[in-house]
Amino acid sequence: MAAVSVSGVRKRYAKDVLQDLSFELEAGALTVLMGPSGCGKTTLACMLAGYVAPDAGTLVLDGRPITAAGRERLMVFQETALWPWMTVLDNVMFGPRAAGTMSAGEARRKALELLDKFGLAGFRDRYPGQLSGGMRRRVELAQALINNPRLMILDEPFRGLDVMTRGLMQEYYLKLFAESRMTTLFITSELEEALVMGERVLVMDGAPARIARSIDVGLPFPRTPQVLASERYLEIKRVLMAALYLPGHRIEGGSA
Amino acid sequence: MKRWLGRLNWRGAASIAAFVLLWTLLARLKAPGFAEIPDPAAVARAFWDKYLPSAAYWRSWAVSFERVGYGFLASQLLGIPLGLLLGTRRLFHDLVFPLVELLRPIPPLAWVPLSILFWPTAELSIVFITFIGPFFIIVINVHDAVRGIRKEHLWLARSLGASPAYIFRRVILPSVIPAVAVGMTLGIAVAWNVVIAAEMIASDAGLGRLTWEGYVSHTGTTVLIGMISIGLAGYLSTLIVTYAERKMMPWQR
Repeated sequence: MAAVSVSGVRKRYAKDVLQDLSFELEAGALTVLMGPSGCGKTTLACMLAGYVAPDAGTLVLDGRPITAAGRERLMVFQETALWPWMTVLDNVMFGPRAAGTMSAGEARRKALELLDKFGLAGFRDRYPGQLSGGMRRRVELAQALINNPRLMILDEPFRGLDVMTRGLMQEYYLKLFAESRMTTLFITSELEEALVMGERVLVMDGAPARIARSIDVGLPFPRTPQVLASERYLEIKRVLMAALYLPGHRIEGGSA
Repeated sequence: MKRWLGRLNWRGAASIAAFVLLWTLLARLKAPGFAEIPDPAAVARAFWDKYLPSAAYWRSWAVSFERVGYGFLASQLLGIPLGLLLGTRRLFHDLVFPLVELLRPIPPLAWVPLSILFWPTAELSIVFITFIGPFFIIVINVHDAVRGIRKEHLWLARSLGASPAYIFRRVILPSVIPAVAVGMTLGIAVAWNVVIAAEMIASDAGLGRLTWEGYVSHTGTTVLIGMISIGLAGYLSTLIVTYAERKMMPWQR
């Protein structure tokens, strides 16, 4: 069953960015979105979150059209969006308190529970500026998950983290996903990351962009080193590479 | 005591000592331009004998501090809300911002004649002039800060279900605090600049007036005591403002 269905979306800024873009996200699936830089991945993410309206076309979650920001669709941004003047605990408690869905005591209890689960129990009174990049990302996940969203949008969330932290965070999110099976759109520009995280990979092409390919990864979870050294891995990597670097592929600024 | 000594900036102390030494030398040698300028020892002696025990001298301090205090406080109390309104309300911005931009380039001292004509007392007109300088600084700083709030910070709050009033209180207000701090630091310095000049032109009291009277009566020691007092007063005010800023931003250490 499709949780998200996007059809015929067009968006124009100085020039056409997205044109006749359509795809569906299966409920309870982790779908990866890839594409050349500047192809409109973030614009698409902002539309799903409800921050940016399309010029044409529709975006639907669970049968309801997306017209504004809402608690059922939360996004983790490329750059941390934690509020630097709030402690970790206040950042995580913000959602239920702002929306009035929990009492202060309840929100606090739930937030502490999540922080504990995310290995951040000792950091609840710190400010975001005092945390490492990986810790900030975990706080952001807690901040989103306390609201039980129907759709998580992660826009290159692990970009800028060092290789070790990045691997740990990928593993971390996969574990979280396995527990909750929360419909996820994971945007990345790293091929290896796409193959570690995704059940399916959507590939966008360039200016103006559509979904050019949808590739089922077909690798079992957990994606152990053995899985990542298998025949199937190499094969799917070749397929994905071909989709991304197709000769004549319309890349922004290129004339090919 | 030992800790305090350890934290003393020795290089700074040495530089101040060197400055006093050079001043002494130039004044004693009657270097060009120094004919009427007393040396530090004479200034210190005059301060010790005439000013330290003088109630009138300390009243000058109180008067200037009071003017800066009222002018500065009023500028923040009116300027911060105005900056917030300009930054958040489109219609208000379009109506009022051009006026702000027209009035802002007028230097505070150019307000002196109008201010004297308008306000019933000289005291009020000086406080008003002292208010003008920091007022426009804080308005522009807060206005720019509201406009510069990262859109992700606002988006995230909207996604999490926050109402506009809640976003204003929890996101917009704290976002502009660093700009308020900058505006306060710049503003307090301008307030002292302006109050001293205004006192020289239009007052019979205050540290500015004291300095000016020293000049009129050809008393070099008074001029220098006035100047040093103004420097110390400004420094003291900056310390107070810096302390307030630290309290305002616990997340920036």
